[in-house]
Amino acid sequence: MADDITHPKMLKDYEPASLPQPLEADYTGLAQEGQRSDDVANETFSDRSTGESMGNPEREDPLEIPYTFYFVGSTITDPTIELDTMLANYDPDTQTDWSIEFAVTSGSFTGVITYSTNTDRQTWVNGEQTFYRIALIRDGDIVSSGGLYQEVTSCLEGEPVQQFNKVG
Amino acid sequence: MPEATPFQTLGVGNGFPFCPEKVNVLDNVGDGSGSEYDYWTTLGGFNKNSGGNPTDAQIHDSRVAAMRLYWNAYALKSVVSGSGAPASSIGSIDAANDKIYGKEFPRERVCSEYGLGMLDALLYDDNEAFYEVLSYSIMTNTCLVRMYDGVTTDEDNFVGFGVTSEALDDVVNYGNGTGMSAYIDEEGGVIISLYLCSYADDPDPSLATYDAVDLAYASVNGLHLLSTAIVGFGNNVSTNAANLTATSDNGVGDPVTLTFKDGSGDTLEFYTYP
Repeated sequence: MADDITHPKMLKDYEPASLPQPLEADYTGLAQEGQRSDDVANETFSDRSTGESMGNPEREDPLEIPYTFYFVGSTITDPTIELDTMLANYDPDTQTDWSIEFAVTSGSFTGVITYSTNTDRQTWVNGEQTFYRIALIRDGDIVSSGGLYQEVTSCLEGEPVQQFNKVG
Repeated sequence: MPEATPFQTLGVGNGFPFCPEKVNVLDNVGDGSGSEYDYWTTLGGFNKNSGGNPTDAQIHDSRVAAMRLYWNAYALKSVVSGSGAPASSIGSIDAANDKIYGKEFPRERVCSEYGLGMLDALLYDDNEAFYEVLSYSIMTNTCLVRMYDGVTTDEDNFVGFGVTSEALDDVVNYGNGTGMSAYIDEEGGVIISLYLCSYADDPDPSLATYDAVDLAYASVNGLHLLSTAIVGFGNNVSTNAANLTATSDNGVGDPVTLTFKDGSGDTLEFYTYP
């Protein structure tokens, strides 16, 4: 197993405003007095991260909570990754799907993390699981949120599958 | 091959709906005072003779085999043959008719009736369907276990998954143990026992009379198991544990052969998925 997490694609040219705004409808009803609802809708992704414009300085947008992955293997450092980092190489102009993918070898996560447009939850090669993926973008929309994810072994038709379950 | 409905389940976080018991293969007494079993193997094939520590791949292989056995097992098969003894038509137990685990289909096994995930089925025939055979049984009451080559509180000692196993003396004397077994009781007190498990000691001759005992590590439809073939009180005895077969006669009639697989060479049959 690898000792370190590798992030081959890091945040470089990520433009938050270019991302789709999947939660616009959810926020329009939260406009503050004197603030137009479309002002809220026009907030950028980063604007919403503080929650201040919604009158709750303590509130943190769930999309902005970093993703923390707890691996079972004690040799792998549990990584915490910001969504911005995950979407660093996502190009909404040319790509509609984006996943974070975890390499699997011999039924265990290796600790190697990559990103791709592949939408399959798992990849199997010669009957062996080689990747597990969590969807980040589907059809241009953000479809998952940050939080705590715990590695578990589940059963798919009698075969062991490594995956993450969101626990917090 | 029987086909099952596709399903996915989390179980209790390990892919099983239970936590397998732990066995220290270096302690055949089970209280810390024992010694290493004479034979032991994981379902993935890492055994006493392998030496060193199992690789991640070997442990993974045992997990794959354990899951296959718990979730996808459909049938356990054996055949009785011999001149004067018609080929058995009752030589298998299966999930459809005998409710292995009490559940027919894999997805129903999410709700394990037994805390340890026991495969539990027994076929017993004492109608003297065969010329010299008084009774014939094929049975599984197999539970999965986690095997350790040291104290079970240290996960570094984990070597892989196996199945519960019974002392061979008990298997011979009482017919069936925890594991998978096929057993014949012939006229004249002759017994033929074939038994599949994961760990065992050589039988103790002071506890039972054995004419022939053979133990071998065997690959049984992809599952690595300890195969034992034992005959007691017989004549013209032969045993071949590696081939899962034993033969004996009772000194009066023709020899009877018990084989722990069907004519196609399959001991276990598994569900497949569309």
